[in-house]
Amino acid sequence: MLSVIVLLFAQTGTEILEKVDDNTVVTSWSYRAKMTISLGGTIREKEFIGYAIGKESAYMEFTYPARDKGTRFLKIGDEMWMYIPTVERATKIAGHMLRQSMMGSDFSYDDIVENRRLIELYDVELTGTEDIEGKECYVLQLTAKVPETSYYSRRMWVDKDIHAAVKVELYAKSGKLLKEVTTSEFISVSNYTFPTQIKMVNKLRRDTYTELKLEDVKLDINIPDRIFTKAYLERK
Amino acid sequence: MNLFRLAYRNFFRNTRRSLISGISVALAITAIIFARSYIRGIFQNMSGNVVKLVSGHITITTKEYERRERLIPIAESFELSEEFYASLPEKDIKIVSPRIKFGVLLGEEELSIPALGYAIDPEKERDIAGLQKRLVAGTYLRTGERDAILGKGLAERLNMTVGDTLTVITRTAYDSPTGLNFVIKGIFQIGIGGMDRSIFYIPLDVGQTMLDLEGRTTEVVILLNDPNKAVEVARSIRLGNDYAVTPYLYNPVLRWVNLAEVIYAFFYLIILLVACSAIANTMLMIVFERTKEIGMMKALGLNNLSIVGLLTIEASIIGVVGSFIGTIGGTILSYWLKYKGIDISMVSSTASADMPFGPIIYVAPTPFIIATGFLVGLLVTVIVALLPISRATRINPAKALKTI
Repeated sequence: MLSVIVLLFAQTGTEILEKVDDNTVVTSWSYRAKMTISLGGTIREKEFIGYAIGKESAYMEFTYPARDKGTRFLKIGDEMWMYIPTVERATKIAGHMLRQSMMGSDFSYDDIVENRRLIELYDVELTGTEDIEGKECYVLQLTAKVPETSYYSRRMWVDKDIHAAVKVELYAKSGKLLKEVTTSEFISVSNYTFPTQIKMVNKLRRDTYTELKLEDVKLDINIPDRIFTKAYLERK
Repeated sequence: MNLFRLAYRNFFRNTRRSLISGISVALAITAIIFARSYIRGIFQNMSGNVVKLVSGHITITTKEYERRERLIPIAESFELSEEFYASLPEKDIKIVSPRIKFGVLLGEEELSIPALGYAIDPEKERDIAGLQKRLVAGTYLRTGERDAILGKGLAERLNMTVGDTLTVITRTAYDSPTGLNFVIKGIFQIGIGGMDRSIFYIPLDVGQTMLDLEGRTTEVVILLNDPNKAVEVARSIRLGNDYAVTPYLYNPVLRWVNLAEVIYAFFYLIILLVACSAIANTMLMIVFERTKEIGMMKALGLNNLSIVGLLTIEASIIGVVGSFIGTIGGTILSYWLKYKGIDISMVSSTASADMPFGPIIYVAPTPFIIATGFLVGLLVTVIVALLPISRATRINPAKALKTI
């Protein structure tokens, strides 16, 4: 009898992942980001601002340091353009570049601009519960069900209380661990529990990590369409 | 002395046969002298190209850069500090020139043509790469200016010419996207297809700024006063364990060409043996033809040594005459092509940048090649002839005199 009650209250992996998606996939958002890249003991800092609408359109512009200031990226659908101030015109980036390091960090361009519901991309299985830094977490195993995912599988630790991923391991199809993401801070805005402090470790590079701190995060806001145009990207 | 006179007369007993044997030796020696000079010319041409365009006489990089050179890891750079320059032996060195090689994708709408950029010091490289001499259009690079010079093939692939803007987009040493617009100042033609189709040059200082490598470089090429001291000087440079100091002779392609010498020697031997079979055949015929005569000489008291001596001198005369004519032929041919050169641009225009030979091979004979050609011709002729000649020692005078 007791086991039946437990089962009734227990959530399936799909339900948990849907709640995680509800917390992080927004209709639109804007933010300021500080990125701290540590590579071989050298720390470099970068700052950028970003706007995004759904999964289709995203815009990023670097504001610091002076070297990178004015470097902009625009993603519309599957296409991405880059604007470098010294070149003074937008250049289309080949698709494979989206999975490469963004500005020398452990994040790829895709990691930053991706805004799709994971439930649409992955089959999910609840494999158990584990404690992460004193928080009780569900452990989800995600396996790609569509070919266009950046990572073939993910192992995700979801905080039971806030239904947000506090740790994710990203794997290649071969089973090799590619990256490890840990989230240490979230903000609660409207119905979202949104990550604001994220640490990414690219396991294919030696002695490296990148911390991303999001500030001034605004969710479900009106963003002018003109931002997501080549003309805005190439503005002087 | 009489043996010499006798041998000399015998040479003319069947002049045509003697001449045919002599000519076959002559042709072989001509071929060998020319082939050795030509191979030496190719080696000189390749090492010249390697020194000018790839490595100088000595290249300095970090060990990590050397290990991953194929990937062009520009993050593996080092500082061009006073300490660095101080560690180079000044008296042996003519020019020290930093170069930064970087990979880019070029193209108008979409970046799609892979190319290799070199940031070089325009003035220092006048005496190393010498690109100012290879321009087919426009002018040379200027320090501090956003100038670019392109290989002819690359310019054609991009459909660009002098005065056009070349947009270069790449990544800095710290992996951030970076780029600049350059004005195409000149178009060069090296004559090696792989290079002309994929290389462009920009000034070092502009490249350093673009790649976030101010005051740094990924490689330094050194030109020496005496190229023969490359290995010795490279060994004397003490920069620490993180650096790789490599003399040009260690370039894999040059090492390969050098190793191939053994294979070439084998071919020379085959050419020579084919030519010498004609001599062996001649001597065998002589011994058969003159069985009676040799028997008579033996009966008159000539010992085996004198018989062998006589026939050996005969073979030597053929060898000397053949080798001499061959040497003259080989020398004239090689020296003519030393000055005229052999235009292989048809081949080299399709050659890869990894095998930098062409476009004109200047055959490179030396007195040593010529002298050894002559001596080897003579020696091998005599040695090959000795086998049939030795049959003459076994001739029984009594039996021989009974033959008709």
